[in-house]
Amino acid sequence: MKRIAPILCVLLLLLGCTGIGALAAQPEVPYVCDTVPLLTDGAREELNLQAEQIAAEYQCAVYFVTVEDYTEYGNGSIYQVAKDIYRDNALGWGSDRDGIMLLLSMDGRDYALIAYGYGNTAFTDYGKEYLEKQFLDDFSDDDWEHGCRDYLTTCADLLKQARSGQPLDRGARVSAVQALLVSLVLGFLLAWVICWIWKTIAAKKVAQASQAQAYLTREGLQITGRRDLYTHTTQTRRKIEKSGSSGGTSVDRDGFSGKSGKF
Amino acid sequence: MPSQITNYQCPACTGPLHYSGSTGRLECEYCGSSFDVAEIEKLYAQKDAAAAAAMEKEQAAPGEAPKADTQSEEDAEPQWVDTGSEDDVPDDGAFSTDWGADAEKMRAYTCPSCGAELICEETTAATSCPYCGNPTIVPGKFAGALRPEFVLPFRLDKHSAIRALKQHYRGNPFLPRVFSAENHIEEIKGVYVPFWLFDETVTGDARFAARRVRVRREGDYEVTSIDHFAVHRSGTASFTRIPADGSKKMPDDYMDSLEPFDYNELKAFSTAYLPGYLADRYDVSAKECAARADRRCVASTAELLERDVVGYSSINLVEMQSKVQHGNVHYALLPVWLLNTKWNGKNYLYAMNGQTGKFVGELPVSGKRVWTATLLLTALLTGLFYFTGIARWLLELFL
Repeated sequence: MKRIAPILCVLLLLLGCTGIGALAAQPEVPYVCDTVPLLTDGAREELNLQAEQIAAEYQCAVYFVTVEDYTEYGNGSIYQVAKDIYRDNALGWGSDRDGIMLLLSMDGRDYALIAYGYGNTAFTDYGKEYLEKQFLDDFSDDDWEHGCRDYLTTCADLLKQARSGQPLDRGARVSAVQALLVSLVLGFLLAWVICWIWKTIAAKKVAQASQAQAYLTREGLQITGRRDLYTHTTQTRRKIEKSGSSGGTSVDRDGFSGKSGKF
Repeated sequence: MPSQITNYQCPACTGPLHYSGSTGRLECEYCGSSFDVAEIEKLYAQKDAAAAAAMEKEQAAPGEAPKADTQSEEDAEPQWVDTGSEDDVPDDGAFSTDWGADAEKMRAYTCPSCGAELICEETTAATSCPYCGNPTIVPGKFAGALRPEFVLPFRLDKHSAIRALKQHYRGNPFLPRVFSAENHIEEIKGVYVPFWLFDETVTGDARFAARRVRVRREGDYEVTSIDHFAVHRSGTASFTRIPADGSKKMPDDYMDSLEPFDYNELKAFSTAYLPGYLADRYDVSAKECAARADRRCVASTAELLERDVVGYSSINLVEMQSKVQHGNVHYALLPVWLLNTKWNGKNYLYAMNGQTGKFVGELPVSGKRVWTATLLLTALLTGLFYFTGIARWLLELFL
């Protein structure tokens, strides 16, 4: 039974994606849907149980899905396919389909992390970046169980924080006292510099003249020699960094937010 | 030999005459008469000629004292008597008269108006008696080779200078309040400062390292290409009447900061422009001052040559060779209002261009006011950083 779990997962996902599943009662996709498989049976069951508990506690589904090749499940980028899987299999918690899903595609070592409904609120763009940092290094080292565990644990932490009314966002990790202290130090330094410059300008307004342009005769400068000689060229290359957002969650027109990449 | 000292007097009431910058005429503050400079010059030239003729007659017949001569001396202007240098001052018993080396640079005069003995520096050419206030000229200081070619008369009067100084105070929030209250603003003095005006031609040969920067995008990369050029420019620039003050007493930075002066108003020198103001003859020679003018001309030539290098993103001067040809040097008196004041044991000097009104000078700073301003600004900026989220954003960057 345990060995057929991955096959069942594949079937469920494929059914959902082809729309056949919609004709009958919606089959339930497990929270940890390891079709490759990457996890041991024991680890899969344990992690699935952990995901169920998290979903129940915070009323937001947390999915971990692995596939051999994401292109078998839909067209487009892995991000687009992840959205299709989520939507076509009616994933998520409750009628609002609240949840987050991490999809790993082993062929090209691609991943997509998407959120929907309350998932968009709980997992801000900054929160997703933070979440990625917790599991990407494990997956890069092929430590699937540890990576999945980190993913689920961090999701639980972020959901807890979100339910308390303060989803992790840019600046949310900074306390008010810290921000006030930094403001005070920066404010004092800048004020001191401004006053020092102001004082210097206001106090001393004399200087020896170093130029005499005002006394140039009407003829001005008579140029007698002019030569411009090209010598060489130097070249530098710089990788363009993507600019960081100011906070919040960027939700697309399908109601999803997320990101994709390689591990 | 006593120096001839002119005390310009009103032809109407014999009161002292002052040159007024606002009207450009010599005015009598007693009877209100005013006279053209040329008019007074002519009158005094006639008096000088009469006095000289009387002197000649007296020397020709020393035993006689003709009536006409006595009349002539009475008509001649009162003269201060040069009592020599301080070395000649007789011993006053208990008081020491040894002024050391300073004595050589001092001259004693007797005021023709009140008889007071006055000690002046040897360079003093125009002053006023501190006892009776009579404005007086020492023409001997501007005789022969010491005679200036030009004088730029004062255009702005004392009231304008006081107004400018008050304006100068108002612009400084760190000025101690007691300073402006205690300051002897009325003691501001008009001074004709001796200046050398240099004509120079500079031949320059400059080498520059120039760069032309091109930036393009290649995928996720920004590629910056820099073309390097060796640029050479040579040329000749002529400058006229670059001023450099010829007075040791005047700080060079202050005098330079008062520029520019409008030379269109330069007049042929006449002592008739001096009454009512102080004036010194030069004590720094043209040769000594020339180096200052040379430096300015060479720096300007380098800048002008650099301006000719166009079409590059950046230009750096690598080497500049220059040759300075000196032309005419003019000696002129330029108008400056000066106030030298002391506060908390430190001297503060303020100067105003007597023609354009440009004001310069170092003001004292109140430490208490600086701290108050710093704290107020700190409160404002702290609020700004905190409430706009800049502090949080910065912390996130480093956490």
